[in-house]
Amino acid sequence: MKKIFNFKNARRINLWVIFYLVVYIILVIKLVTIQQIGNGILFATYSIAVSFYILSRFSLAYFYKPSVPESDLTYEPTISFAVPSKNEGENIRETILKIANTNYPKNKFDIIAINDGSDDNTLDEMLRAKKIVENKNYIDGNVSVKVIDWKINRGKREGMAESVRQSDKDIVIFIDSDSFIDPEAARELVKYFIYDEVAAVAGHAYVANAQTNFLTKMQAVRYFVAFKAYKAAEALFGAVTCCSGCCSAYRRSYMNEVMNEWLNQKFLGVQCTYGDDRSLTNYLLRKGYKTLFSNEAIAYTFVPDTLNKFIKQQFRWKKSWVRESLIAGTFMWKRNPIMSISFYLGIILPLLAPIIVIRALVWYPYTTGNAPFYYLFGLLLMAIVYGLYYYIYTLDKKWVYGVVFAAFYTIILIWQLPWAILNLRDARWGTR
Amino acid sequence: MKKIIPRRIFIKKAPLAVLVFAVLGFGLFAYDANKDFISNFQFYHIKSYTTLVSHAVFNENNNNLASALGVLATNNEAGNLNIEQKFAKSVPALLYHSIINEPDGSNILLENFKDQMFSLKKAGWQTVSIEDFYSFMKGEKELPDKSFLLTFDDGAKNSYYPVDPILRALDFRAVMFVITSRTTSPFYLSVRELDKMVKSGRWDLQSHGQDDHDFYPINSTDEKGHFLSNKLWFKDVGRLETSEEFRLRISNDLKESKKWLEERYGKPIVSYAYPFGDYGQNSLNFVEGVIPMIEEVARSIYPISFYQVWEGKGHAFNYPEPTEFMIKRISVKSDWTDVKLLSVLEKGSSKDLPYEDAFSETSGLIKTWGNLNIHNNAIFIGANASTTGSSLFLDGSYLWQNYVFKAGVNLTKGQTFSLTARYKDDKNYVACSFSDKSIRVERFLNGERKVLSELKGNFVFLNKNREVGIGVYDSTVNCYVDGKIAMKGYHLDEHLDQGEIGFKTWDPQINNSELVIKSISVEEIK
Repeated sequence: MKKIFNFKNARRINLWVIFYLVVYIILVIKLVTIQQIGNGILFATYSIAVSFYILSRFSLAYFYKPSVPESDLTYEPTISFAVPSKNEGENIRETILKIANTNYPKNKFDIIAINDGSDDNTLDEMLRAKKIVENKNYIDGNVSVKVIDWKINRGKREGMAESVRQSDKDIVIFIDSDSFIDPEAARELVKYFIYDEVAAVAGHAYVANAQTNFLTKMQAVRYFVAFKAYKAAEALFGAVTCCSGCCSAYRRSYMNEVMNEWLNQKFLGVQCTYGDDRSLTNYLLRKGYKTLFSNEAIAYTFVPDTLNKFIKQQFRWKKSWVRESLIAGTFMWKRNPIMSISFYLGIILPLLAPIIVIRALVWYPYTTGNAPFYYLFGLLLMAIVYGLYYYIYTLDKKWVYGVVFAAFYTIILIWQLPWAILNLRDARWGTR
Repeated sequence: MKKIIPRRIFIKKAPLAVLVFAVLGFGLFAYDANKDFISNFQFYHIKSYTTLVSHAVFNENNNNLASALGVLATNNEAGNLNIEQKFAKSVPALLYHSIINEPDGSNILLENFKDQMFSLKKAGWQTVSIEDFYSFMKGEKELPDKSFLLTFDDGAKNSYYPVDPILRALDFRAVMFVITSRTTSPFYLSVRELDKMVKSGRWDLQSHGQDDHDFYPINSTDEKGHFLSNKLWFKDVGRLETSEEFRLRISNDLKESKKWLEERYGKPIVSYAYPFGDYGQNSLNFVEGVIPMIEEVARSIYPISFYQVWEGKGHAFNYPEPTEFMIKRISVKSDWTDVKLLSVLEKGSSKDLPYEDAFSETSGLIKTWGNLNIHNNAIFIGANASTTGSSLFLDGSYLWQNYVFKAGVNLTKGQTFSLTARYKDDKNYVACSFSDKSIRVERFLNGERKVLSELKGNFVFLNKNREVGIGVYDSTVNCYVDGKIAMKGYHLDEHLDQGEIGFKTWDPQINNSELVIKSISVEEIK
């Protein structure tokens, strides 16, 4: 029986009110900025554009509610789960077992695990998992686990490609070796492939080790907003720019169309060996296919728990973001005008960010003698919007870390971007 | 082809989104419309609003509630005029600067201001516009009894924000004398705020000069003085400006502020308020010629000008006089309560004939010299340790023309006492002066004394209860002793055609004169 009055909902409504109050204050600040635009046109324009961009993510995400006709709910394509992995002895067995546990007809999916030249017990764990899974007798058939063992490391991209070659199924779902998927995730991902124009669907990754420390708590909030708002906003126009490797489904036939280009991708004359998921998504987008996001397809992934690992990961992501954004920039204008405007804004704003931050936090205080309270206040409000957004949906106290993260990101992580640009040609993977 | 996100989802979700956007948009609009109010808000301003509400709730007149909340823009003026009409014979102008929260020794606390305004309202006082005031001064318009002009100097933000809600609730209006060069300074009202004030209809803007509130070097030692009342020092050529240069400078300043206000608001600016109330009397290096020159220049630009009058500097109110250029303002002091302000206004109010003084604190007897005490149903005036005599006048009797003023007195100390009549200020009046040796009719014109007639003899005034009097009728002056005319004077100057009554005592020795006044009565001669 449904309750007429739900306490949690009432609380959410209150939180939304607070959320919009903060948004309102931000808008007021922007209004003041507009009226004093003479004080520095670049700064003011940036400040307005960045708020517009961020708030537009939340607004657009609100409208993203993809649907599949009732009549098509019986649609059950065949699936290969692909798990390329290197040195993942710790998690790989669990990952494979979780996949096998997926709520989907057992005769309609298989698992392809690739050991990409690991130095540890990854292969043993894979074989152990294979044994467990294949010995299980399900009513609707058995799940086959294909283990491919490469003695020499060939890279993630090769691993992903190999699993596509090995598969004879309709859909390939890539799962990172350190990610666990929810039993319902596969069904939630593949149901959108009923639409022919859909090439890939990204799942919603949550942080598996959120409780470990400050850093992982911050990332938990960051991931949530990045998927729930940012990916959803892109998906509204069928153009998710990165169907991430931790849990995304791709249509095998469309992947084959771009496979050669993707495998031989070169940028600035250097073979591309990182940002494989973003790159693959990009090739499909260029073809005009749609990429979506499924809020309900849930996976849990492990995130870096030390600052060093985190910075390295972010640096790698920045590099692939720069490369793929430049590539996507050559065709994104063909898409929906709102999508393309926000896409280009999404590139320009982070590129300008370091200049703006220097101006606000160094130049402005230095020349005027005033502490940059106004700027920091605006920053804090925006960070609170992030945090509240997380809190409203999860009612999880970690939202405060999200506030810290937004500030941390703006003040520290943006400096990675110029550095990443300078190191674009450096092909080193940067270990995880 | 089926759509991944069907139209119905947008249709279903749109109303909420539109609502949120509308609310936010409205919020932004509301902010924009009130941004000056919001950015200038100080916590103590709340007092203006809270008392408004309580005032409105506990007051029978519910119009106040409506206007306090801004729900109804009621026009009480019409209502007030309906009641049995009594016209004002004189109108006071009150001067305020900032309305503040922490005492600073010169400005008025919001608490006080609020009490003063509510008490004035309760006592039946009503504000008038500058136009009406000007017409009244020219004798072209009647104003209701108990009209007053509420003025603020400088155009500071905190003489608007805490004040306006009170004006709105009480249906009052005010005049702001604006320093036109300061509209970009954060302490002062911006042009946008001035626009809003004018638009509200509650505020009249008048000129408080352009740059004349700044201090400038007035001699080679870099001493600084008022812009308006001093010749400035030209450092580069090492000389003072000439009178002509002075005239040109102040003339430009006075013209500039007027021009700016008139061009912006399209209304004639009729008045100018002297900065620091200094129309030349505080000059440091141009004492001899500055007052007439300032007046000449100001008069050529403005129909009227405002200066400040304190108790003892002649009557406090303004009487219609088409040629009067110098308009008096009562500068409200920081320690005045509402009771004090009301008593000041009561003292200055016009009195009717016949008149009988009740010897109350508020009857209007104003000391201009020496000591004045009222107790035991008698008035004691006399010299103090630094004067040879004393004087007082009855404020509010300025319009009296032909009358007999009689008083029961006892000269307890000193040589002479006088009853004065047609007193305009301490330099212009007529007097019957009584001493044991003579009774004289004297007139003072611009401070110059002339004995119109004298009766010598042996009279006994010292330590005796006597009834004396002075009668004025056209240009005739009568001095009375014990009900009989003792002395007559004729050919009183035309200038002394009306004026107040008063007393004076004098003795050659310092601190040796005292008069006890036991009754005062004045009757009109028809």
